[in-house]
Amino acid sequence: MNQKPAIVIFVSSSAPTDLLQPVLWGMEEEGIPFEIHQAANSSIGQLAKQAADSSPLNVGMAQGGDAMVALHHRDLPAETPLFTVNCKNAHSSSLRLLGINAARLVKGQPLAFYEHSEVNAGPGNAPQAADSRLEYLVALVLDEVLKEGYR
Amino acid sequence: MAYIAGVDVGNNTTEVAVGEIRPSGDVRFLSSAIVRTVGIKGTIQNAMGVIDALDTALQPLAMQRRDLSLILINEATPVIGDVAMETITETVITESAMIGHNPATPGGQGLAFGETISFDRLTEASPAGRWIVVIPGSVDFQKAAEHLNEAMGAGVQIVGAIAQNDDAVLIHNRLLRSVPIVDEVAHIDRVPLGMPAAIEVAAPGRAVEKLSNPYDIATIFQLDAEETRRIVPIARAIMGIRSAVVIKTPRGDIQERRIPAGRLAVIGEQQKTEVQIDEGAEAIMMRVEEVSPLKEIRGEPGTNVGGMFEQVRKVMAELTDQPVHAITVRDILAVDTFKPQKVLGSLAGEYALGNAVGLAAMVETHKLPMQRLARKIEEEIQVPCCVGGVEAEMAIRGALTTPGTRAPLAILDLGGGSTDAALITEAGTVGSIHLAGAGEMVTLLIDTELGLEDKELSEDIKQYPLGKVESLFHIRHEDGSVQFFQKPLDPKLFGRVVVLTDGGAKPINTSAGLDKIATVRRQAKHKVFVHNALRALKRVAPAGNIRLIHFVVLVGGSALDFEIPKMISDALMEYAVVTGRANVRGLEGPRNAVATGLILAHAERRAGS
Repeated sequence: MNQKPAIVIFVSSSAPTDLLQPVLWGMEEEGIPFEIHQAANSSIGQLAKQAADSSPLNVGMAQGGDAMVALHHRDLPAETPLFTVNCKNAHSSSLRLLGINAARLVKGQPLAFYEHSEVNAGPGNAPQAADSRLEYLVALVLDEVLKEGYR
Repeated sequence: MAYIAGVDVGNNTTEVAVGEIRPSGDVRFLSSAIVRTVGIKGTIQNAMGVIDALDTALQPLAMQRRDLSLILINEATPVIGDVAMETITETVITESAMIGHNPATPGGQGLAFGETISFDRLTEASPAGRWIVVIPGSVDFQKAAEHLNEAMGAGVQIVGAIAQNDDAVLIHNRLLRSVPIVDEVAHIDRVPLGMPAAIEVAAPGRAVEKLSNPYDIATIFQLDAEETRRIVPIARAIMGIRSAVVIKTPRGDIQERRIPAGRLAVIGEQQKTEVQIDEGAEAIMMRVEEVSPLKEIRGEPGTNVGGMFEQVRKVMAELTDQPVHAITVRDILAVDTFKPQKVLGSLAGEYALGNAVGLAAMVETHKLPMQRLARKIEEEIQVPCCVGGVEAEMAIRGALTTPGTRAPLAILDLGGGSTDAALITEAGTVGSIHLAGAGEMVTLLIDTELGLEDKELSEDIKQYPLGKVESLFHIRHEDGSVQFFQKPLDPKLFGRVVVLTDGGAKPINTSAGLDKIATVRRQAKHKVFVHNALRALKRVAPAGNIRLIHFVVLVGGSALDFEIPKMISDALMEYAVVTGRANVRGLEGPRNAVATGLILAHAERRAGS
């Protein structure tokens, strides 16, 4: 679909305009190029996954009709975007952070987190409270590590 | 036929062996257990852990506590260690300001020299000057870029900018003319205004060249020789960093102050000497060797080193119910290290590495109250309990059950608080020594050199290998091998160096890379354990000659470390000594030596009587 190295962003036709701007600034500050394409209305996760699949950098984003923005990676299952943020009630700095993290995902640099961000972190983005989410993730990693047998 | 339990209460773990002594005097070992020690070693709180360990060992045998006819506990070596860090030089920089840090994304590139000016006053800037604009976090990057462009358009010479927010690239991309911009300066309100300043941003992958060189700073600010000498700490703090600002302040006096670190009095059996801490670890250890065998080491009162010695003695006095003056520091291990020092005048929270000496002290008293512990256990579970034998002797007996060993054999017990060695000669006589410096010292060195201020994390770094989370699905281990995961890893770990503990991967939040952390860890282990292993073996070896020891066996928790045994083995290679981890009873690895030895010694005594 495209050959230039860039983070691909699919914006669904009914998405509210302009809300995405802080996300783009985040990527610009980190120095990673991006491309925006219009797309048909679809589930935000699917859309983001398609974007990631079509990006030479393996990282994609999507903005849905409901003002949700999702960050996705080619290697992640479609139904579990890495992060999703609601543009409407999120502070612009959280959106900027989402852009920064998209870029850092490309660069392989540690991601940035706010202490109390509105970002729904984590693959397997079930609507859970932040704390149980974290616990779940820790358990997940722990599980995996034990299974693989470190020592 | 009698069932006997041997119990070894250590600083960290309590180990138990259960054996059956046949009428013939033969011993058959039935089971063993290991639990965490409850309370400080040698206190009656230990009883809880001992009983727990006994139950754990008895459970698979389907035996009751009352089936035991005797419990033997170790005559614990009355040794505790403590560690402290002493900075040799404290660099205090006053009345000068500098920023030298690694914002992820500075803007522009190159070196610029000008005068600092507040963003609000930009309209008043004279076209004759060269200006470095200070942009507070309250200013949006679009507005910042707009105003800078306006000023540039009006002929004001803007040569660089310092920003509080992480938006140097965003500002830079919107400027008419490229200038270097340093961002993420937390304390931007402390940046002095109207002062000559130099700003430098290096190309990606490069480090600041000019501002890390004292002579270049001298050239820019026209410093004389004396001023140049004093700017050195600033230049050093900037080395290896991607962007930097140096600001000359009104007085601009940069002071280096040497704080006396205190003196040690080293008292041997024949002679005594004194040594200044700031002469460094090598000098201290040389003096210690010179006057060895040691009787006592004293710290100069009123200094930090004196305070540290006081603390160790106080803890030991409380533990053993003895007056403080009856307790003496018998050995120290000094190690050269680095300690990150906060640079006063820094505006982004920078640190510079200062030289420091780490000290571990070892205290020996007459006897730990193990007798009391034995009585307590007897009371609790109604099984006869007694103190059975000196720890070092028991450990040697246990270690000799390692297949492929025979006397003369030395054991090295690499513990948490002290490094112990014991030697059994062909004639069967046992000598032993306890030296300051072991696992806790290593943890302290790691913690200090990496500036973590997190003992738990430092402990993990000491014990477990590192890895780097390279993608959401794989970790590259420090040996270069790659491990893939079925499920995605926590995004909080992404891109980070992690320590791979049994409880999962823990991120290490420091700017230091994997190589640096691994190097610090290895050096800390080398400085403490290899140094102490050689020191200890020399003390117990016949005629002080390590070559006369044929077998060296490593016991204790640190023997299970993933790299210490190899380090010690490498160091002992040149002495043609067989070195390896113990395998007590061909079964237990380096664990359970003392507990095993207690039962063996008891069986022998019974057979003899």
